[in-house]
Amino acid sequence: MSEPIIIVDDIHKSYLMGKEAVPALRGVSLEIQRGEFVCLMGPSGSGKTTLLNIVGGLDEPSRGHVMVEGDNLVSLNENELARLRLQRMGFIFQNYNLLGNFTAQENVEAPMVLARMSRRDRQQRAHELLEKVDLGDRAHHYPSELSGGQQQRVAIARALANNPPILIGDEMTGDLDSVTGFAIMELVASLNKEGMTVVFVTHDPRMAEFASRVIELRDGKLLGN
Amino acid sequence: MVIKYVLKNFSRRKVRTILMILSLLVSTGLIVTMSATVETVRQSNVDLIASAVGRYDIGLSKLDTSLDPFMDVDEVIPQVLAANEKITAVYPRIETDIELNVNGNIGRGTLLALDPAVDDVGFVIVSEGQYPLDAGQAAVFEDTAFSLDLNLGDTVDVSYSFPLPREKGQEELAGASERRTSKRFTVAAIVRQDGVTDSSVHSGLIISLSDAQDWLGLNGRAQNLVATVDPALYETNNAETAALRVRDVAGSVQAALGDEYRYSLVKASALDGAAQGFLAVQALINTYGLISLGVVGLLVHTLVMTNVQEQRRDMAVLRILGSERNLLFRLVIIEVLVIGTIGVGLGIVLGQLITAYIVVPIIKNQMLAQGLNSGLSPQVTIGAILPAIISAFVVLILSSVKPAQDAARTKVMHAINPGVADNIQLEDLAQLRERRPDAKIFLAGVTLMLVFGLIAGFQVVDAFGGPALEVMFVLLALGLLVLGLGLMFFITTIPFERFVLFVMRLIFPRVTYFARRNVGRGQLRNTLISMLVLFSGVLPSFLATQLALENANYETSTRLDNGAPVNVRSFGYWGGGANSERLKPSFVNNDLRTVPGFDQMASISYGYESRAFDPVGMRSARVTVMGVDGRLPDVLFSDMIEFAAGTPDSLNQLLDDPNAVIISEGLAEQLVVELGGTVKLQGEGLDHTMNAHVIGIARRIPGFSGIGRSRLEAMDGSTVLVSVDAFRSLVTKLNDPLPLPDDPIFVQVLATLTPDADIHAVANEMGERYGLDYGFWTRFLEIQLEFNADAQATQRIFLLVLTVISFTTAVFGVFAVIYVTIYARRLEIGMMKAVGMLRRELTGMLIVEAIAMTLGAALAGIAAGASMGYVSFYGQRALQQIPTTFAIDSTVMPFIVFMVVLASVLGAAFSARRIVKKQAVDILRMQ
Repeated sequence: MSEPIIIVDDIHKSYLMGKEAVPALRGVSLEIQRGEFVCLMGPSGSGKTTLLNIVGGLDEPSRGHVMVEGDNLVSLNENELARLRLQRMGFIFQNYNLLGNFTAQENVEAPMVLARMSRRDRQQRAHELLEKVDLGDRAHHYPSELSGGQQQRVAIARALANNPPILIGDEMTGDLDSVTGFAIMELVASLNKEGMTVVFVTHDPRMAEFASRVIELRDGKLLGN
Repeated sequence: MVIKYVLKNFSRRKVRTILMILSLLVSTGLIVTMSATVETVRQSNVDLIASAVGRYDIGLSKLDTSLDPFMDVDEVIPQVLAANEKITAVYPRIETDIELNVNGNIGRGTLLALDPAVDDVGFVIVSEGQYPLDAGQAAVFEDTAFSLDLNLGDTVDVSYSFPLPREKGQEELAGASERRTSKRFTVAAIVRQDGVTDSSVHSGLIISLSDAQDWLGLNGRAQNLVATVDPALYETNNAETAALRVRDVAGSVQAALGDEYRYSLVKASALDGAAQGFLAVQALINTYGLISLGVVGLLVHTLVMTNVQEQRRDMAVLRILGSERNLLFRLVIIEVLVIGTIGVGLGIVLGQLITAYIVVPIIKNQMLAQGLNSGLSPQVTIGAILPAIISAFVVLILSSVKPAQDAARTKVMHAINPGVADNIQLEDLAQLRERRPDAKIFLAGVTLMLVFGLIAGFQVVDAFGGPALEVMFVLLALGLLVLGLGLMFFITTIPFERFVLFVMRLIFPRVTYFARRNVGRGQLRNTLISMLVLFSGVLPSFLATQLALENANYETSTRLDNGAPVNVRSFGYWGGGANSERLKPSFVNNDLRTVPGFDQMASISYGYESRAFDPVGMRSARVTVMGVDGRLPDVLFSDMIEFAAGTPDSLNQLLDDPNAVIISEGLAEQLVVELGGTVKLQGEGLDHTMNAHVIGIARRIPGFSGIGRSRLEAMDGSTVLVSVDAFRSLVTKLNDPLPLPDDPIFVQVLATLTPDADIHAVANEMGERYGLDYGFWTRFLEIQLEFNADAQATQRIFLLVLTVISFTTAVFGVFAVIYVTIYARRLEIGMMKAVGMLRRELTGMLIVEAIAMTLGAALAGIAAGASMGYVSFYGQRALQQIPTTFAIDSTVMPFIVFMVVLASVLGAAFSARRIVKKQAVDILRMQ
């Protein structure tokens, strides 16, 4: 039996809208096992992105606890959270969020620079990762010279840079046509098969089919698991 | 509706609005302050000059050819008062040179007799005792009291020589017997004067006029009158106008009194002379002001352009609702004008406050420290404010036109589907078909014509213009210089940025990894920020380099000019043929030589204008012949002597050989004469030629201008040296007897000092011995160097102030551009944070980026200014054939670097703080 890599325990999260607190999550608890491929689904405003951000250490809950590989994210300070994201998480965003002034290779190298990897090692790894996402021949292209699918593949390579155990994806195929979207999901699925835990949010039920487990949220609560 | 929309925008973009207002406030405030300071000093200059030359406006005395040197007070004063209604008061005085005797100690000074009860011109400042005076009492000036060891109650014998009228057309009779009278006075006060008379009067004494009249038998009479005029005559911005008004008043007095009087308008003429200097300072300040406003313009342009881009959707909605393009254009222009009105208005207030509460008190203190009482009051006139207001609004309009046009080009598609809005739409078709004039070609033409206009304009101004117009052209030339240099050196910003990044990478390798790419690849932001800083750095670096070179070469220049450690120049040195302006050999040998501290001495005659020919008279050139008496190699700075042929020893051989000559290398080339060859020198009168053989060909002899290697210059005139005997013979017609051996011919004496001589004691001794009676000026190298060291400090401070002015706005520019840049890159920052970049690393990256960009540009600006400084200085020195010592400015340029780095660090840290402190997810959610 595999161990839980992420434990979410009674998470609450509210946002202040003017003077009023609007609840986004209302007591969500779940466990994600190492190597799982988890999809969070739900309509707009259901709290799925909020939950993903909290799990990824990008946001903090108003109440409750989140354990990632035994570390309680709530008790970590800002720098410790940054280190956790750097070493244990890989992020993929809907709009890719690549650095416009950096080439594909340099974008992939960026997290390794932050992790103080030597120049030779990081260049070699960036090259390998770009090869892995089938962009070896686009290493020196800038994001503006790449298609949406190619940019997202660079983002995936960048997410893998420090070999994190968890991959977090927020609507990672949202800006792509369906053919490219499927190709991206296949790539992510292959990473999962190599042992990486993947947690992603999508609106698209076709993309959700790639997941081994779909968690549905509505009005800040878990609906189905 | 427009105003409401504009005001709402202000509250939406507080930081940007505040930045624009602040930058306008500071730049306008500083320009107004500087202009008002110059204005204040210019107007108070009347007061300063009054203090220096006497606080009266017109002085009257009889001509020295007048049979009666005195005037009847009751008769003349009413005439003067009636001559012009602007004359407010006239006071009788006796002011003359006197001899003082205190127990056998003789001193000289000025006797000033006035009536303290009515004569309130200037201030008599009492150090000890009591003033005004009773009969038989005197107020002794501090210097005299000190030198003659006088105390209150002591007595002093004063000897007065009645002036002898000079016969018209004749010089004063030397040694003619004079009527002399003496009287003993008791010292009742020890005083100094400020503006009672010329500031050079600080020795002698004051007695009451009635006492003097009784003593000299001049009851009801005076030697001179001083008159004051209505102060309103000086109330004008134009010093020249003020001076001419006073001259008109003096003219009416002259019409009333006739030609027997001499008029002195020292205050008005000093004011007139000083006006030119103020114009130049004003021009420099205006140049700095314009640069600083130009930087503000770039800043406003950047911020408003960002606003327009951010508001694109709103504007597109307005267009959907039916607004015309004109309205969008007006929205932007009005927004900028409202900001301008607030910023400039506050700037004027700030300028007034700084002038009134900081600048004026500082100037007052400085004046007081120099012993000058001045009723200095701040002058913030329309003349000082208006140029700043007009320039600021012109700059604002120019900088907002492009963003306003951009706003007007907003398409409805920007609201519907921004992604495709920038593609060609139906509404673009008309524009595509339209043929438009190319403004860039027109501007290129205007720029080229500006250069021509400047050259032609200078000639026109020279012929028809006044000093103010000339200053305007200098301003334009300076502006073009800055602009041209800035643009030319803009190319160097990139290598400088790379250099800065290289250095930064050694210190902060990780953050520089990210910064290096952003700096090197962010095109638009880079150009703007670089230009902001670069233009601000050019002029200060240029002036600072010039100053550094001038200071470093001051000693060389002064040594070359003086020739020897001590240089005594009689007034005849600067022209004039009167024997009285030259020194006699006996004076040099028997008198000057006895001054304690002097060692070796050599005398140089006045320059005799002649021509030199080759032996057959085919080639010739104008020459100035100088006779040398004394061993020049013993007194000259030997390291500065340079001979092309022959040796410095030839300067000694010259003394014993009446047929020898030393010529310049340029003249030798012109006449094609070699060492040992013959040169014919034309002497005075007909058929008078001297065949001189060349014993030395000099490239440079310190103390002598007109000796160089340029043939072209020699054709125009050069200096040749001969012995004194040869000189006497040359200046005398063939059949006339030679001048007497002791006839005055020397205009320059070069000397050295004994090793143990106290240079200040020698200078004092020279002043004491010859200050009053002899017309010569002694320059001591060491004292000149000391003075220059003091002057250097003042010049540096002035430059630093100007640099602060031009960079204060640049700092705002840097701040604003960094702020906008960071704001525009918030998503990238959020992403970096999401992948694990620490807050300090993000801030560090942004700081390194800011430093690299601004410092790179500052270094380019410094390189531009400094290069121009070196080229112009070295060029000038090369033309003058003077050796040049290399120097680098160590004050202003490091200060620029410091300011730029500080602005970058603070700007980036402050701007980044707002975003970096947010959570990554919040940053990514920001719109």
